[in-house]
Order: sequence, then structure tokens, then C-alpha cells
Amino acid sequence: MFSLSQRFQTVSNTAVTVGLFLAAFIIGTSWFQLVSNHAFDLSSSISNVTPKINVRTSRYYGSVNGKAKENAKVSFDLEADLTKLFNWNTKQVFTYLTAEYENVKHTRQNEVTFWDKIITSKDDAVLNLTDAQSKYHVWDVQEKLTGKDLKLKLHWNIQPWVGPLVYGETDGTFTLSIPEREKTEKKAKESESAESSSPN
Amino acid sequence: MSDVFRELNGKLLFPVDYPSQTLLAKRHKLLVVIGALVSGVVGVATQSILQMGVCYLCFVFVALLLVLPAWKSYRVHNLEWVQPQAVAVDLK
Amino acid sequence: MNLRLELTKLLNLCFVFASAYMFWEGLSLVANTHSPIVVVLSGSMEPAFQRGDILFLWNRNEQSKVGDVVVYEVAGKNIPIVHRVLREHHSIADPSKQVLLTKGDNNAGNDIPLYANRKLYLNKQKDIVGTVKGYFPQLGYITIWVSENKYAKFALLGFLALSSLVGGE
Repeated sequence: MFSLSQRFQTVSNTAVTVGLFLAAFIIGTSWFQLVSNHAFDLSSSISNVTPKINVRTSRYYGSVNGKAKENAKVSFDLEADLTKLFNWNTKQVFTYLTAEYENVKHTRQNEVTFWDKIITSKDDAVLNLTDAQSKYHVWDVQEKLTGKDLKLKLHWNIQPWVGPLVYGETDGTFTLSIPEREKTEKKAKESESAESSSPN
Repeated sequence: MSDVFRELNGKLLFPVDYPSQTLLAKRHKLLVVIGALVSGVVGVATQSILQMGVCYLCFVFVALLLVLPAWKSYRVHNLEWVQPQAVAVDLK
Repeated sequence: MNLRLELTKLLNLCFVFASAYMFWEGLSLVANTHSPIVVVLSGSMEPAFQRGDILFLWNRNEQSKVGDVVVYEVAGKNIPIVHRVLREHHSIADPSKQVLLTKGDNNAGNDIPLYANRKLYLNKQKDIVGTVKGYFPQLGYITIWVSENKYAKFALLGFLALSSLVGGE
């Protein structure tokens, strides 16, 4: 502590070390708040899910070399209360609706996202959507989506100010069975979308 | 070249006497830890990390202000170094 | 001028640089990735990650889950891209074979226009640098400033060398 630079180094070292303890305190209290608010057992309700199938031929919709690729969109009703995820350490909550399914031979497990939303404040955290449209066209790597059973779930992800990212999922699920399409219906839809197949 | 740096270092020393050093070592640590506790309480009360950070930085700034400049009261007990003297020596 | 003294000081300086490099390589080994700390370069993940944030990566997970924030490099280019996994498909028999589709939170569409060789998916083993586990705000702006300003690199190196020499005694 003799010279100026030594004193400055000592004080800044102490400040940084104690600052790390403060950061640990923030992470600890926010985690404790999440657990005591039962944030990991949140419930949600997904209902009224209707799929819509389109066939596309551009690379942006999953088609390889121009071959026809089945794309799916869904409309759904969603109710969830995510206010318990917000505390002083929450920067934003990213919530997303995913669907899990297996391929026909049950050799591959898949999970796709139909819809997501960024919530930045507690006031916007109550989700009450009716007839919402999915944000993304979804296609499978190799197969069609018709004839498959999709299990839909709502997940959330907290982006904190300090500390690690926290992930979780809500309790509500919905199993959607996409029916096989009639051959004639499929042909009609193909010619329809081939005429208007410019990507929107 | 290193002589220049050594001279520069000597000028930037701003020394402090030894009893003050022990005093400062204890005091700044106490100040920073108290600052952390107070800003923790402020943060939980206001539920805002920004308030907590500002409060903590204020305490750190006060600690720096107390420690960095070589205030007059820290140099009261300066040690008296023996000055080199020229002495005539009979070599024979 | 004492040559040995000057060389000793130079040795100390080399020691500082060498230990910084060793720390980086050690971290790379622990996290199993060639780049365990990256700086966010674009605003495609706002408001979660701003330009200049530092991200800490971890690459010891066999699979990525939908919703993970991953860093990947397009084959051939050295620029890390930080986006979120939108879709994943993996084989049940061999879980390490996984393909991913990613999208930035702040982008309108997914990352297919960014992938090289007209591919539709990223390969988890080959393309992913790591999953984001933690972050520190804004400190990485120094590296952005250094890489975008011609003289900043020399100024920073000069400052480091000077401070190590002056404070050495």
C-alpha cells in the first residue's frame, strides 16, 4: 500500500472480488424467487389446433432441387400466465411452441418450432391467444408431415441480466394428428400452389 | 532506458507512512464490504439491479477517494532515513 | 545500461503474454471448443444479446435442444454467428447425429440463406462451435473497436507493454 499504483490495485481487487459476491447474491435470490413461485410448474392450455398443409418447391421452404416438399402451418388457441418468471434479474423471456414427433420407422426423433414470442416486461406476460397463426412453415427432413402425431408443448427461456440462461416448459400439451390427405385433393393442391408458388 | 522509467516511477509514488498503510488496508475492505451489503438491501428493496449497481459504485468511489490521494494525515509519521554523508577515510 | 536487467524485464513481459495464451487454450480444452469466449457482432439476437456482449460457450453436450442459443461458423468463413435453435432432428439409435435449423430472434426468417453450399441444416458435430451458457454485458466492445480501427491494435499493445514496464519495478 506504499505507492499510488499499489493502493489503486488493492482497492480495485477488493471491489471486483466483492462485486463477484454481489453477482452470486443476485443469481441466488432470483433462482430462489423462481423456485418459491413454482415457476417450473407453470400450467398452460393449448387447444383448437388446426393444421394447414401446403406443398412448396423452393429451397426456402425445404425443397431440395425443386422437388415438392410438404409444409405445415397451424392455427391454435393458447393460454398461459408467465408473470411468475419475471423478477429483478429477468432481462427477457423467450417463449416458444414446439411439436415433437417421430418418423415413420421410429428411428428419428424430431422437434420443430411453430411459434415463438419475446416478452420483455411483466405486463405482456399473460398470453391469451385465440386462433393465432403459427409464425413458421414447418417441414420434415425427409418425410411428409401428414399422417404423423405431433405433441405440442409450450417452453420458456429466461435471459437474465446476470448469470446462466434458465429453461423450462409449461404443463399443457396437445396431441395433433395430421390426417392423411386424399390423393385427388393432394393433386389439386399441388397444381394450385405450383401456379402461385412464389415465396411470400 | 530503464533509468527513465525508474525516475518516472519515483515521481509517481505518492507515498504514505506505515501506520496509515495498516489503517487503510483494514478500512477500505470494511468500506467495500459494507457498501456491498447496503447495495444488496437497496437492490432487493427497489427490485432493480441498476439501483444496486449505482449504490455499490458510489461506495467504491468513496473508498477510492479515501485511499488513493496521499492525504496529509497519512504522512504524519514518516520515517527519517539516514542521509548519506561524505566521510574522509585515511587509507594508509 | 545493464543488458541482463533489460532482458529480465523482457522475459517478464513474455511471461504475461504466455500465461494469457495458456489461459485461453486451457479454457478451450475444458469447454471442448476452439473458441470458448465470443463477442456478439450483430444485432440479430436483440433484445437478448446486444452487439459487444461477451458470451461463454460450452460444447460438451451431445445434443442441442430446441431453444438453445448456439454459436456456429458458416463453413469457410471465420465469423461466428449467434442464433437460437429453431428445429432439431436426431437419430434415436445414434443421438450424436443431429441436424439443426437456426434463426436469430431479431430476424424475420430462418438462417437458410446463410448456410453454405445450399444446405438446409447445420450439422451439430461439424458446424456448432458451442452452446451459450452465460454472458457478460458490453465488455467485448473493446475487441470490436480493435478490429474495426486500424491504429487501435497498436495503441492497445503499446499501452499493455508500457504499463507492464512502468509498473514492473
